[in-house]
Amino acid sequence: MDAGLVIYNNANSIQITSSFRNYEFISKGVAAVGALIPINNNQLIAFAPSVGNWFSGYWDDSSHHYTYGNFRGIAGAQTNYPVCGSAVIPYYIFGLSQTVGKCFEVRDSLGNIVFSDGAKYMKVLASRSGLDSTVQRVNNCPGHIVDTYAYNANLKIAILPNQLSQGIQVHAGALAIQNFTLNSNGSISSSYSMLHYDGSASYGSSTSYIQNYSYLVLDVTNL
Amino acid sequence: MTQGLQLFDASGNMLLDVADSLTRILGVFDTGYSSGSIVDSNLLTGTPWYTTVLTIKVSASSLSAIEVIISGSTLTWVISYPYGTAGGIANTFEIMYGVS
Repeated sequence: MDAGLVIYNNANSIQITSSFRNYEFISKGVAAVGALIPINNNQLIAFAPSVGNWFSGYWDDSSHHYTYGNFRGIAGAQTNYPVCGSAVIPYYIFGLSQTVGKCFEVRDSLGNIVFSDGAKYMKVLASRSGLDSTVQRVNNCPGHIVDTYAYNANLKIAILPNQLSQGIQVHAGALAIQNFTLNSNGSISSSYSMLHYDGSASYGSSTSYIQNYSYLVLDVTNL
Repeated sequence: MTQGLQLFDASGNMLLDVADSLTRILGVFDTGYSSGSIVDSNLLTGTPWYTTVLTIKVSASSLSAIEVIISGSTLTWVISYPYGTAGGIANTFEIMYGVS
């Protein structure tokens, strides 16, 4: 049986409850383009490109053969996340709360730590999703912009894309990949690019495809 | 009156402020191959978020697509096959959702 603890914050929203676990900060690093970053089951990875730079969830093997990576580790295997972008990319890994508290600790009914004062926690600033039905064919990254989100420039932010896969089979021989750029005016652009996945020279003839966007904006200030 | 928990580390740096809300995980499930929805009243206790991942890794020519919509206490997912299923259905999705 859990402690039955619920703490409400100053906006009267639940701040901590013993019923549900939280995500805590695990580690951070800087990845070179093309690097493979291991993440464990249920861990999340978010990227914080520097202003003016972009990243993608796809990996170019240098022969225009693109593969993708999940942004959350799944059961059964460690996920090697392929990074693709315009520069070296800082990344942040989050995982289920597990750090033992120093003076304060909350556990759920199974004995799992849901909160402790020994950890730093993931903070979601925004959950963005939508559909852009504009037919575009922009071959260069970061490509056609489908969403823009303005953030507080005093914060350091990271982006956690969702795996949609819509763009993967836009038509034979090409795919649309979701990219993210941090702009100098304090905003994020989510965009799509049309790229080959088979290394061929042709992009095909179809122009009908869906361009969903979906991503989380995280506050990684002081992590 | 201000309410909430404030925590500081040994150096006096603030770990948690009264305005902060953390990222709670409410559930994780596999979508299967069809569209569907779930109802979870806990989605009303904060700002909803979700993540989606492919549960298997396959060749790029045989994947389905997913769209997730959260409205009130209902989370709906829509699975589509924009380029048909002639090549077989190769993947499902896993959705993790919560509130912050």
